Amino acid sequence: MSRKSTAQELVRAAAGGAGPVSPDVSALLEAVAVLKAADGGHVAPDPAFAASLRQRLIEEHPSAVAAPVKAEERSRRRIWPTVAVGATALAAIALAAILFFVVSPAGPTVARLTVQNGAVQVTSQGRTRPVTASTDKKNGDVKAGDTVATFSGSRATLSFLNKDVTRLEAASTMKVDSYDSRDVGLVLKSGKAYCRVVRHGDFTVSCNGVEVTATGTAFGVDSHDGVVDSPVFEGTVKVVWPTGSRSVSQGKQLTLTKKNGRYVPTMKDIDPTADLSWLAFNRDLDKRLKLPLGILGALGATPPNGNLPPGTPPAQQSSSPGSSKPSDSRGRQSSPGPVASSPTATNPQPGPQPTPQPNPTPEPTPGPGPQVTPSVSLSVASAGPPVVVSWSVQNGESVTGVAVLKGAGVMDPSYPGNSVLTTSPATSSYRDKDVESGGTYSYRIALLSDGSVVAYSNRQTVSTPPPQLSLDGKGQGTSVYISWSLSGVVHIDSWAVLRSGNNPSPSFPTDQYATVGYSGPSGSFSDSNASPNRDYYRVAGLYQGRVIVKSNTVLLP
Amino acid sequence: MVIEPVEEARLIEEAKRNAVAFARLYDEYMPAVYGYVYRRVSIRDAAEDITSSVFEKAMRGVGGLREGASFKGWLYRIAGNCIIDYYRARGRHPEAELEEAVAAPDDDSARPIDELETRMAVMKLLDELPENHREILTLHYLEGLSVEEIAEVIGTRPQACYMRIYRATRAFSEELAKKGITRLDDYVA
Repeated sequence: MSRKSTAQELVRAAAGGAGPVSPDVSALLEAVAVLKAADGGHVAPDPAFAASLRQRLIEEHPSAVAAPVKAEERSRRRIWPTVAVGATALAAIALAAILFFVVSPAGPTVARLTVQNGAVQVTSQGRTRPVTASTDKKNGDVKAGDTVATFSGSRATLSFLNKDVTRLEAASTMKVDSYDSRDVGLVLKSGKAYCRVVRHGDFTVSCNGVEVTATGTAFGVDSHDGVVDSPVFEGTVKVVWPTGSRSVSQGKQLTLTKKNGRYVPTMKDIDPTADLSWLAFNRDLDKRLKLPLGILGALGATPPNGNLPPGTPPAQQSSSPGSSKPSDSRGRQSSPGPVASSPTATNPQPGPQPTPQPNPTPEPTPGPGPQVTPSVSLSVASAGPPVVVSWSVQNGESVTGVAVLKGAGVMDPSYPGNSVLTTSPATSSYRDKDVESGGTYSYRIALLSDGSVVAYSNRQTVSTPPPQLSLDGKGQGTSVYISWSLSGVVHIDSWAVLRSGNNPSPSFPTDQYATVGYSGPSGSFSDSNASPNRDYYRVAGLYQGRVIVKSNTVLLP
Repeated sequence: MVIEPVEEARLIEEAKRNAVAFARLYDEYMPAVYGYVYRRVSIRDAAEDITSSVFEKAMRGVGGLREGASFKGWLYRIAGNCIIDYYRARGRHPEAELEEAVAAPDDDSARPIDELETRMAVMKLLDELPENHREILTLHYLEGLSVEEIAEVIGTRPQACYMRIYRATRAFSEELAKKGITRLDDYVA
């Protein structure tokens, strides 16, 4: 028997094929049996990871992301002029790119993140990490493709290698979509950004189908309630939206409001007093960088609350002495010294004022003293399951443990009844996977000393995005095929297929037509007995007979 | 839920422009791809990173998948390349965390210690085989890929795969014999 036929015989027999086998193959089958018996089988993925990756893929699918596609087109447009400059330049770029990837296979660092207040979340290649003021030196590298999210009460600065700067207001999410030294492309997914373009080159922020492009200027982009605002503080920018474009000069603000699916532009003068805290915050930082201030130069004094970001807990605001405290070399204020805090006291460190510097000197260490009371401030990510809880402890020399407290709904979770984790003081974040889509959870941190609570943090309440159930289908004659897909993390034990000939919103249980067992977040159903007339189909995800999530309705066939 | 071939072909076509269709393919294949990656790298965080890369690349590349190609084989091919990138980035083949990989299934506690030790020895033998043998044995016998799907993964003709499977099986059999492991009588079904 040839080796070729022996090989085919082995594959056939190992797959369970019938018939006699040669002695050679028989010996090999023994080895195969040993291998299969020794194998431990597949390790299942973490459900939270699976759901998170699934959600991200849906959000980043080319059909769902218009803005990044535009950014790619912009990059392509820039390639050809680069080629025209000459092969030497291209070769240099290629060599630099190769060197970058040899040094760092995940892509080069394009910006440094500095956290001014609270904690910030960076998502890089599907993984998230919290970054705080005390960890940004270690964890603050940002690469092209990374997403930076600030939370209520936090602000952050992205300092690009080419000296351009973008600052994020509280509760904002920004993706670094593309970067080279002359072309920065950002996607503002939500919230507010301030952009300071230092070097000549295209600097574009995409937001809800609107592109704001500048060459050497200072401008903002603010996305709220379907409206995109583009105030220009210095220089000129160009704003492009699907049906139009407009140049915006210094001191003006273009507001794009959606009406009947189309953006309607409105131009007006910037009202600095409407957003004094945010603008003064940026003005002060720009002044330190010795950048032209434009209209911000005429802005009033720094607000007495010290420019704290929105969402800063009241205790922190009341303890803020404004901008009179001395700052360290990064612009962070040094320790305010002994603080007599109540059990709910939070981070006494006031908000501003960082200046991005390539080689910052270490922060001063507060000296221990008999009256120093530990305190802790808390930030919570609301991007959905899992929830990332981050905290920062001040004056924690006497702290021997940290407890993460969690409660369902809006409440003040307490220790020890609501403790979900007790850990060492060195830990500063917790990834809570035990949450569902559409849920509301409250968190607090308790600082422990010898088993007793010495301080609670502020409470943060977070609502995770609700689950989404998408239904699609097709039909012909009396045959209908529908399929559905769930985004999010919820408990479901069965699917109810709803069908109605006259109700465009079939309801459960009135219009229940069939039940499909749950075997995963997606499913399908074939109806070979569809009405010759058109029927409305809908699917509901059930848990113990209760509707957890409903799909859209499709009209078939 | 197993997707029928006709339905899979429709989903692949739809996935080029429809995120929900791609999500259905993800639901179908993600656990297997993750399991395969974990089997190869034995580190949970790394397996999650690599699996993310696999599906990001698949999402971007599904438009270029040729008609009639095995989607599963194509995914495993991407996974194989990502695993190579992972090891290349580390600059070495890490010590496989075999104990974690072998001890992971829930029913292991019911098995005798000597059996576990033998199983670990067998998996260590597999791990020490040349990469090409290890990959093909894993894909065929442990992941259950067909000859045609493996051909898609390693980029060769199905006929050539038969010989590769044969050679890899023979090499593994010889290593087992050297260690005196010829049968696992107690639990080979």
